[in-house]
Amino acid sequence: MSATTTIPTSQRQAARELTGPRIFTPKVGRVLMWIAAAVLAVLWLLPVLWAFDTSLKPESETTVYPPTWIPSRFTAEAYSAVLAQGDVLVWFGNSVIVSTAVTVMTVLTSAWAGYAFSRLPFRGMNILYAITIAGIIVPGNVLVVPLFQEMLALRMVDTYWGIILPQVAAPVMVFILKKFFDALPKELEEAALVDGASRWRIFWQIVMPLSRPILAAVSIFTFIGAWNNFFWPFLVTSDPDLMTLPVGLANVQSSYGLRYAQIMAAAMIAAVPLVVVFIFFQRQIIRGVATAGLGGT
Amino acid sequence: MSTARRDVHRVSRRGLLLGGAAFAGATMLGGCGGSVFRGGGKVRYWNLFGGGDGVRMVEMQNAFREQHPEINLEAVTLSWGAPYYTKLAMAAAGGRAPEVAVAHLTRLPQYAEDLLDPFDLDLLAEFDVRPEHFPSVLLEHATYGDKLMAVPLDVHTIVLYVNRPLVEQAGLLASPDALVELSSPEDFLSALDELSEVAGSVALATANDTATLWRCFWTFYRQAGGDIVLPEGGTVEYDRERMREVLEFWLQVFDGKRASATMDYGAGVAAFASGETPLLVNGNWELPTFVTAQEETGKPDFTMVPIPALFGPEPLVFADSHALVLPRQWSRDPETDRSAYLFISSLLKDITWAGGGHVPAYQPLATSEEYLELRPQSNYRGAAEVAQLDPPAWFSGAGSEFENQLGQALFAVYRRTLTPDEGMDQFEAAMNKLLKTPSPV
Amino acid sequence: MAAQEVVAQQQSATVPVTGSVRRRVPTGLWFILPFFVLYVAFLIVPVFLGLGISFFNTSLSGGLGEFVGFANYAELFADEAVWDSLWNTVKFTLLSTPPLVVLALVMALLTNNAMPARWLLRLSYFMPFLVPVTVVTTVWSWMFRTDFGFVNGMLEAIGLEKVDWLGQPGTAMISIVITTTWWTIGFNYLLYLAGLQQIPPELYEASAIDGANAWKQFTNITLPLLGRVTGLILVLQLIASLKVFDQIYLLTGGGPNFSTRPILEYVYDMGFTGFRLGYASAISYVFFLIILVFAFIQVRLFSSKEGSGR
Repeated sequence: MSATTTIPTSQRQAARELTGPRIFTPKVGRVLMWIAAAVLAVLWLLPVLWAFDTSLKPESETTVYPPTWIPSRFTAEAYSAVLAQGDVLVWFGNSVIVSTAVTVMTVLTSAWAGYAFSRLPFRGMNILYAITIAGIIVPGNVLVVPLFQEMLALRMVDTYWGIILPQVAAPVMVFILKKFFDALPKELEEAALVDGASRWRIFWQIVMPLSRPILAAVSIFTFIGAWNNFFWPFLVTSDPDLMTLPVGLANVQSSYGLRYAQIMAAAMIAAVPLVVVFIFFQRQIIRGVATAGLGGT
Repeated sequence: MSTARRDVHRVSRRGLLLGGAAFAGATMLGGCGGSVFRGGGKVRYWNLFGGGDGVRMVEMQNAFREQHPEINLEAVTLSWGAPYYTKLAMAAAGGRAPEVAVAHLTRLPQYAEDLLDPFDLDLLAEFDVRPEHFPSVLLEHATYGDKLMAVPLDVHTIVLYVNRPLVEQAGLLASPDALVELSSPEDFLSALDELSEVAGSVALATANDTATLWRCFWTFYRQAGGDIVLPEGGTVEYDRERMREVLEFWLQVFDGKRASATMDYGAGVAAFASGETPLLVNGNWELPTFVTAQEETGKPDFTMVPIPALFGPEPLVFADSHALVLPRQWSRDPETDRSAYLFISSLLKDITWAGGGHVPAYQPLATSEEYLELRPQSNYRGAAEVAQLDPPAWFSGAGSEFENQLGQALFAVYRRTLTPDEGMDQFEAAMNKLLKTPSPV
Repeated sequence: MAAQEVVAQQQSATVPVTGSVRRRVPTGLWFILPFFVLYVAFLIVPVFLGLGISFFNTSLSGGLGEFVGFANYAELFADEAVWDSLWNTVKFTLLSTPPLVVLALVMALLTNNAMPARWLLRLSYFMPFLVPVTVVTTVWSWMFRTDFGFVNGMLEAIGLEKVDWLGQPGTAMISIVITTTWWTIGFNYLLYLAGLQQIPPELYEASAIDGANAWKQFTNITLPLLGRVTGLILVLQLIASLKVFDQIYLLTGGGPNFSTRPILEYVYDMGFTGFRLGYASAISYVFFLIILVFAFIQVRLFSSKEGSGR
């Protein structure tokens, strides 16, 4: 504290120019760092740019070697062919249905359960909580065989419910929400109880509005996870009309045969939605990662 | 304070709305088992025709739709091989399989018991399709007990696609539809050498997926008199010397100049379509791809010939048969069945499929003038008689674990990751393991 | 009577936890029920169902099948393919974890300070994470094509030889690791960024006064204070790597010659392609126990790290 007053002015000025940790690097160092970061960014953008470039080429020029960036003409015919075929739109629609349902149901059930674990103890709840937490360790993919057998018995193979339901129970989200509710001050709720409000009303009218940031983060991450989920939807859907976008693209590759421009066009169409989501919800996503990753465990 | 109240009310309404929407959506989804996007009362048809013949199948589907607009035909093409068969099995197990599906006759053993419904012969006869319309060898494969579980659509085989100008330049073209006689491995190898000189590139375009590697191997192995027997509960029986002979032959072919072991299916087809490669060994189903290329660019000027008999007197060749099956449903609807049978019969009688390179299984079509006049299909029509199907076993057949295991070993041997002996050992061990496994059907 | 009312009100005011005393079912239970029903149905039940099926020869096409006791377990311990695929999973984990952790840290360090177009740099690193696996593998299998792929084109342009990326056992796993690193590094990157921003700047100022240079600051301040984040990233990374399936199935199908097939893909091959659900279940169960042991060890390590203080 007293140290700050003895730091030479020039150094303090340099320190204030940076918004991150004050790693004192000379100008050359900073330029080098920027170049390194830019090179990495180019490397990271390259594959998608190349795929996008391919999708805009006429089909006969996609397999030219050595590869070129600029074809004889740019064209969107691959996109119109893919969209005309319609499959991609069906899968897109299915992804919207499934991801939305999973997100809504996960947020609701996890928030209710998290609230109960936080505020509504009863006999035996600790055991239920322990069972819930234990589930965090279980990686979902390992249980696919018995889960599929269960779906066979319930006749839910190749149904929307079959895709949605196993994705809803999310012990991690319950855990995160419980910790969040734990940190909320109890006074508002207690005051409402004194006024005679039911827990249900308190939950919706007091707790939920206060929880917007965490709910936003949970919703977004659940949505992203559900949208990109491959393994389970891959197993439980064989009917291509029910497939979500990632699964449909993988299964029905041969619809496009060896038409690489169309394959890349379909891939680009599938990549766009979540990138758009990210651009709109950047701040919440980043904050959500920080909260979930660092605020808890 | 009052603004907070308003906020709170808005949220609770929003919460109710959200909950309500979810509930409504849930009940809507809960009702129908199928997709919201395509209506009911339809004939769903799955196939795995992603190659050149896929184009012809799409034409046939469209022709059917035009002739029968009252029937809602919904056709889907899935990736060939294990992915298709796994999905078919899982859908049939789940009871929501499509009404009609394609299956190779060699895969029937795994499905016939529990995953397929038998054909109603009387209903079939109404559409002029009777068992006697099919070659007996195919019927045998399609019948279980006294039930007909599959209706054969075609016989298909591998052939040599021949680029006429290039091959003629090397002096190897005997007539517009035939090569000079090649009756030994050495003949073939020197022919390839001459062709690679003329072409300046690889002489023989190939494919390195496990299925194609299997077919090319099986053809010459059978020509040499070798066999593979898979007795349940026993150990695999095969002719190691003959197998080595064929493996070493292919190693000489894959020397980088005659052919390249890194060339995959797509690259091989592209190489021949561009008109730069003299020969291509692949299935007859790529015929439409090259016809289209010819129409668009004038190249390649090609024909198709049977694989020559290099290792033995007879031009034995790999072949399999596509058949139409009825996957198991929880309940069958007579109306839909009728439409399905109508669709099947229309596929059998449509000569477009022969345009996809295949030999029709339905004899009234196979013996008709119309078909017999087709070129170059009639060049290799005889393959149906010398057809060599996969050795029978519950794990064998098109795209099966059998082909996968042998294909992987072949892949490694041709890439020189394994020696032929190591490859054969790997194959033998894999077969014995499969034979010891209790059959799940 | 008034006194009773007051007492009742006081009771409900000071003990607001459980609802009205008259309800038989505690409110908390109602709140938990929706989650718990789904949890039991789709997480707990499969755990026990899996154990049960593993004692039968359950087939995809038929019903439960005959009871075989421990035969499936005996078979899987003798099955080379089980150990090969387990080893592939471990190999994948060992190869992919270092780049995913170290490179993420490097990216975070580079872009923590203000710089031109920083938002674009950050988006570039994170964007692949938002893309579904099918798109990732479509793009990368296109990049890695031996004959007309972009990577080989670049290699040959600088005078190197083509590499058969997805066709040779040696390079196939490396191709998968490259693809996975590109795809999932964004998440670790964000975590590291958040971690870096939590470090109080006064620490750097203070150390600068003591004459520390950038490297000293990095090793004495940054690294130790990122310990917790690194630990979290490692745990998440290990769990994700162990259950890998999607990108390997889509890129190489487990090939060439099964050299990249992870254990979960073997489970899939056995159970769904090969119809042997009972056997596949037994393999899953053994793998499940292995993961539990791992997780247990990690939790212990983690909490001891917490305990030893920062």
